[in-house]
Amino acid sequence: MRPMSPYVGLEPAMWRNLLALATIFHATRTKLCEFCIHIDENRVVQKVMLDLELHAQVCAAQNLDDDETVNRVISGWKGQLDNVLGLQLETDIADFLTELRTLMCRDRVSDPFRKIFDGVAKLASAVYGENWRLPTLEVAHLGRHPRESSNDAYAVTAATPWPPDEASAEVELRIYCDRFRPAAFAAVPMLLTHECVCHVPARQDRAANDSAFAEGLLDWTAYVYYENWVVKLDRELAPAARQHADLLRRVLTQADGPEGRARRLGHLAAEYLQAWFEDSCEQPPAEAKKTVARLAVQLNIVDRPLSHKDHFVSLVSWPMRPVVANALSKWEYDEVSAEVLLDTATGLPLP
Amino acid sequence: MSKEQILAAAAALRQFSLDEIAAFCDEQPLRIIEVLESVPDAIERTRVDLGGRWRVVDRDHLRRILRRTDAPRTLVLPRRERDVEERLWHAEEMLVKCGAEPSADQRRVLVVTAVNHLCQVLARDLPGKPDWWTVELDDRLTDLITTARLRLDVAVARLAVGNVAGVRMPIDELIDMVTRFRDETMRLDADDRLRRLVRGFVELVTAHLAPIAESVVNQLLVAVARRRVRAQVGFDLDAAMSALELLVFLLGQDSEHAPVHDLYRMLDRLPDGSERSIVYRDLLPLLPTQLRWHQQQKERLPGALVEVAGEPAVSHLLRNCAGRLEWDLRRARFQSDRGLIGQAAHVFQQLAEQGADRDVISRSDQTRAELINLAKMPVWPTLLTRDSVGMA
Repeated sequence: MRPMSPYVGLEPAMWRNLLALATIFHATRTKLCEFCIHIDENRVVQKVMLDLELHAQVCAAQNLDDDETVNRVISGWKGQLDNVLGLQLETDIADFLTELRTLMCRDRVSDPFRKIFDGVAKLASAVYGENWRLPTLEVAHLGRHPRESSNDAYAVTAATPWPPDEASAEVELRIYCDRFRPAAFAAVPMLLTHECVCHVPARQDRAANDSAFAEGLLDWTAYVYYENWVVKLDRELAPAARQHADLLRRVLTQADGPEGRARRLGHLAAEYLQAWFEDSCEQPPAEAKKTVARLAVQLNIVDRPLSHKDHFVSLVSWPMRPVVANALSKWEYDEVSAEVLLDTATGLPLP
Repeated sequence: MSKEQILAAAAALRQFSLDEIAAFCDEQPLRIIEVLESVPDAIERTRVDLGGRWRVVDRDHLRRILRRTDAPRTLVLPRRERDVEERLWHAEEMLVKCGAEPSADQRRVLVVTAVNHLCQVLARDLPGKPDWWTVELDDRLTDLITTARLRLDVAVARLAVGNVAGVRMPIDELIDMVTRFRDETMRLDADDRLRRLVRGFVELVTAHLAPIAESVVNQLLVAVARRRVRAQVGFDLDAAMSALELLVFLLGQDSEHAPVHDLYRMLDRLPDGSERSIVYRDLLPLLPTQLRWHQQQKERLPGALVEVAGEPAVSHLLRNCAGRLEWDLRRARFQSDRGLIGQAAHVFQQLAEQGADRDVISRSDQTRAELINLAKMPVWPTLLTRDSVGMA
């Protein structure tokens, strides 16, 4: 039987290529932070990375099954590392490559992407409870870098095609295979967290990349959860996953264009809300931060047009408009639901 | 640190299951239970039968515990410059883009949202720094604002608000606004952001102009004119603003004096035997090369009507083509501007192919392609009457 790809959006050869790389990144995850730095700064490690990419491509094209492909990539790359280690290297590079060589065979999983996704989805489902939609993962190939002009290390993005079914949603992880390196792999948990917190359970009429609510306030919330989840998801990947989530956040929030602005505006709104809960409700900062996250999650599942939720974000300011402050106060005291808060604060007629 | 996070999560959630609170902190379940049970005065366990739920019974007590472990409290607010910059960009983008939103209800919400952001920026620029929700986008505001850019933003916002509310701006005020806007625009660098804003301004101003008469010919001419002026913003901002000023002046006149009525109208016969006429400019590419005619440089209606003088055969052909186009437009019964322009493009193709003149076919192809681009252009819908704001 011909080897297949488990993902509709990936050719079998492309899948095996990604699988081999992801398997090695997963196995060496405790060293990914260092790996990224060395790729940026050290020619020997750059060459080692190129060797791995080339070798993965060659093996992936051979129509072998998944296990055999990964075995051959690992054994081939191990041989190449041995050759490099036979050269005279700086001590820290030699130590690093030796560690990579030792680590690369351990912790094999059949699909590293699904492993991360299942962990994120399980944690997100606890946040949304009965409002959770059952998500499925798709991995797809991108023909170019998602932010071509910036050419950053994160050649990967994710999306939740709209509209989802009432009870389920599909999350698509899109990877530019030619640039899928350790930094991109380490950013995958945050990208999937963003999709699961912001979009999978959302109840609204549409999706919009320039939404200050969906891409801004909720993105801030996704990071709040991620801080708490990163170790639970994978203790060994956590240092790299945390570092690259922060770097990715910087890349995305600094981006020009409507998406970057929506993100920044939504983050601003979250910071104002946090300050308001601290100041007006006398919440300690740690509680206020989580209260904003709880509010964002509740608003996300209120069945109202996305424009109403963006309108709410536009009302969040310092000082807070009295009608909004009053509605927030009642919500904070559990006197009204998030739905009533949204309708009262915005004053918009129901669609 | 972990205890603080668990208690903060409890305080934020109020009532929760173990899974819910676990998603809010980075500790394992056994440690979470241990921390929750360490503050029995503040948190109590309920529904043991359902795997365990907790609820906060004394939030003040919980907060006192949290404050003991928390760092000294200093309120952190985002930087003012960051706030102003982001809101202004967002407001401008929304005001320009939301014209393409097909739902009138949605468009209203988008405009109000953009205005909220803009008012927050304005409030910081106004004397006395009033609360932003008290800022009114009226004419008096313009004199109080200190920057040209904000005055442009206010003009666009006022037009957008009028558009979604179905309230037409008086023509004198509109002309005054266009003149002021043109002067302000000239003081600023014509970057992409300004051009986008001016495009929105052109759409909104022309959308405010009252329809001169209920006729498909008028509708087509005005639709083409406003779209061409809008397109001109991309390559010649000054010329576009001048064209807009003229457009508003001409279309703002009463019905009797307005230049828009026909696709072709003969004016007079000159002593040399040539005929002078006003014609819809997209008909000109249909004239075969051998015919002699010339066009006055100044357009009668920017982007739509021109004055030409030529031999009688020119008038004859233009009159026939105009008649055919008008007949076809009436027959097709398109109501949207987009549909009318598309239909016009279709008729041009047929007329060009009838003559079998290669030059005519080539020129008409260009016109057709341009018209199709104009038709596809998403623009603010024209303002019809109160509560009948439709899609252009």
